[in-house]
Amino acid sequence: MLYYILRRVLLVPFMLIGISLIAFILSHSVPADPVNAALGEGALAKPELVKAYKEHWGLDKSLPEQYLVYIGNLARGDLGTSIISRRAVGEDLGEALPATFELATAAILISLLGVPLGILAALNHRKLPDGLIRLFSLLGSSVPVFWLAYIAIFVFYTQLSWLPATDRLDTGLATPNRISGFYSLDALLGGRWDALGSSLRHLLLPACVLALTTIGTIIRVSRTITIDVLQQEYMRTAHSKGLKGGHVVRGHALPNILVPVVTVISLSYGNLLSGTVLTETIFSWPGLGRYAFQSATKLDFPAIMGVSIAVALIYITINLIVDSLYAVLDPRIRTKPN
Amino acid sequence: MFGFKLRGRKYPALALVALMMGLLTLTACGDPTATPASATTAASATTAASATTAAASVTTTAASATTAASATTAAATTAAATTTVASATTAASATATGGTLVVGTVFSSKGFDPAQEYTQTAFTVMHSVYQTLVTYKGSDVTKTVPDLAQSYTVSPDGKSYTFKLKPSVKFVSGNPVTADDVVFSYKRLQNLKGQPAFVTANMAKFEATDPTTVVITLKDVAPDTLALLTTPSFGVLDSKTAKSNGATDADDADKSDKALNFLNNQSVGSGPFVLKGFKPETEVNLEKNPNYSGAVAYDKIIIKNVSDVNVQKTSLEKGDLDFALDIGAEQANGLKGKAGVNIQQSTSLTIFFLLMNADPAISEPTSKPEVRQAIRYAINYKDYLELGGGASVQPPSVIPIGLAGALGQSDQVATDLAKAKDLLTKAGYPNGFKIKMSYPSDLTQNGVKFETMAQKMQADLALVGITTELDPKTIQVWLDEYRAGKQAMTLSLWGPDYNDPSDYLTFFPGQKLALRAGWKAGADAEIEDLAKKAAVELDESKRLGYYQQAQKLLNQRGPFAPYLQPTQVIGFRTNINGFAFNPVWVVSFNETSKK
Repeated sequence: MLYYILRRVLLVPFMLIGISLIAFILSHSVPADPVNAALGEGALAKPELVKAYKEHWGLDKSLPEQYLVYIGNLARGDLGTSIISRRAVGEDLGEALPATFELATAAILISLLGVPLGILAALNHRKLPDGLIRLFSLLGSSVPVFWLAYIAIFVFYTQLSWLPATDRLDTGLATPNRISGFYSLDALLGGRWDALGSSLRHLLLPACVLALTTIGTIIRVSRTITIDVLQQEYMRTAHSKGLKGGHVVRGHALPNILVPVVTVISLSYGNLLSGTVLTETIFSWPGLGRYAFQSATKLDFPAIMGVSIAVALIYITINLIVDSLYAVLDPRIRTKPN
Repeated sequence: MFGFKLRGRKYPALALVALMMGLLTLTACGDPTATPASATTAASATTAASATTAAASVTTTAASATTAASATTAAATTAAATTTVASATTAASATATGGTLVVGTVFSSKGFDPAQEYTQTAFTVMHSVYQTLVTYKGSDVTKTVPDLAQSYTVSPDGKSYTFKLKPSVKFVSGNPVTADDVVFSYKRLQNLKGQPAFVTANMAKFEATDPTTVVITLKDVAPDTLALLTTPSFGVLDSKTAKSNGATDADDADKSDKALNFLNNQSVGSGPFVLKGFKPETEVNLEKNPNYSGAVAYDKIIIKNVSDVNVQKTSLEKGDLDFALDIGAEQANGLKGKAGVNIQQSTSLTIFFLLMNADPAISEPTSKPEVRQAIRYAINYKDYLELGGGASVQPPSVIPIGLAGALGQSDQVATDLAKAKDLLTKAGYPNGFKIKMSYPSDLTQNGVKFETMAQKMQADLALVGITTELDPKTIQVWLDEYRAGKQAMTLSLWGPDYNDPSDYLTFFPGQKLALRAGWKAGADAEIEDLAKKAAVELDESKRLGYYQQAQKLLNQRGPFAPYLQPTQVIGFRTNINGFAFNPVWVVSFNETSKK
């Protein structure tokens, strides 16, 4: 097992090189000039300003040269400087990533409810609870996220005034001292109770909206797998041995249900971490999705590369964790030689 | 169904595919689901298409402002005459009582160094924390008023401007504002070669002849110099504090200046407020400058990045924001009659125009002046006014109503389909023709979608037999084609980089924008001659006369059809007094007050 994980970790740098190359080629194959994207009409009319700009950002070099310089810097842990923010991409990501992680983690914790709901639906196959849960799951996975976000804001912010609609903290409230970058966690660790309450209230609305989009899939998968497992012969054997219903589900069905369900949850988590553009824009959440969108629309190449590498690392890490989790959850994998 | 994935090894490959798909959608074709995010797109596109999305005076005053301009911008005319004006900068109302102002906007800037940033958000902040030699008051951009300068003289040949500084103005550090600070800031602006440096392109020398006298020597005579100097890029920095934090005005400042990070997080100016902190994705914090020479309206200003315009609208309605700077006509309609909310609709200084390529190699039909004239007659201008919102107008030519040098409403082209058909027949196209029309498909400007206008234009032209094939492109791709001058026809826009008619010389033959329409030097000697005269004429009424004559000819022979000046909407709470929309910095906070 240890050997397996080690081998996977050693592969990471090579995968990053591949990913950075693909991201580089893709982003540079857009038939648009980053100089046009960044400079206004006034500056573009002055050739000496355009020249100074190209030199400053290394855009006067050939593409292979630009890539080699990038990889060289990357090897030293330098992600370059964002053209738009003029700050180190690493610094930008250092602020955007924890914001998105906090939001995605809250959302995935809420959508974990989908597992018991899915199992409950399966146990009541084709009965009323099953129908209700399936309807809920269908709504969750088919309603567009921006629509849901606007409705949530309208109901809980505009009408009821229960929850705030933008940002991570109340206006004017000082940010808790940074430990993890999760405002709620940092506030808790630093004893900043005002910031804790505020950050949790700010987190709730966008997290619930995001959770609703993933909970549908989690319910559907949990339900299907459970129905499938319940019809297996070992279940019939367990029942015929005279075991009680609850015990059969917990002891025999659950372990078989959990493995695929964990896969779905982890993939959903990955999607949440990399695909929250709309939610973050609507809720003014300063996270990775909004950053990626801004960089892409303004052809901010260093930032686009940085985001691609960050997203790739997220998927690689999640896959690694999930694969290791299988071993814990599924004895068949544990005993298998690597 | 998930059994095959149990080995787990397939996921890296899957993740790669997902990543590539994501990147493809993001970079190559924009985000197809991006409707709600269009505000962000618009914001970014605005900066790209024309640096400042300037916009202008309130409709009712616009027409009169134009005529008044000739008299008021007399600055350059009065050669060698000293103009002394009473201090107009300390505009804060006497009732100002402090408190906190909360402003919501879509951030278009990531910093506030006057020599680096040329975006809307940066201008709003810079105008609050730095002072310039001359400035504008309220929404009138046809007339400059003194800010740091007490008086100025222009040499008889029009090439040298001498400014006398007001005495005893202090920076936030307590240092006095001296001529050396002005020279340092301007040289740094020039030598840093950043995006705003083009405003200094015609300036040869900056000198401090004594501690309160600044002399600016020009390369060529330029009647637009004062208008340029109002740009927040000419904000004056405390050179002592700036230098000790890495700033330099040396010739190689573009490589040796290290003050970017410092100036993004704090300001070293003499304006009513001081920058106290900046979180690039969320918040800008301004505080009262205790050393400011006049009254200051607020103790604190918090500018928040509210990236969705509908949420801006709701937050304004709830009172969580005092100002919403990016709402469009649609949100304004939703706010009509809501308690506590004021909506101000002004005519923007942005013009939307149709470009018709005059180069026969690119587009045979539109290379004929009759065809271009026919298209101008075919456009149903009234319909666009509805798209543009309550304060929209049909621009009389390329210079928008609200700027000096604009034509009057009587010079607007009137829709006339019969004339259009006649002209097409004369040009040899009795049955019309087929042509491609480009437009930036993801651009929404002043709440108007280019997509909608393109469809409308297609319908208009169909009525005179012209079949247009729409060619939508994402803004960055469209910009490349546009700036290369490869489009037969395209919808585009122009917002002034600074508020002087000279910014519109670009529409005349051989100039940058005209070249995009295949209108080369020598294409129209009469117009070119007028443009040349207008560029250097020091007599203001003569100068504006040249611009107007040139535009009348442009309306008949040029490759442009300006069709709409849209509405600029600003929402604010009813307890805010004194707000006037300014096309350069949107709002001058210290001119407002909160009850």
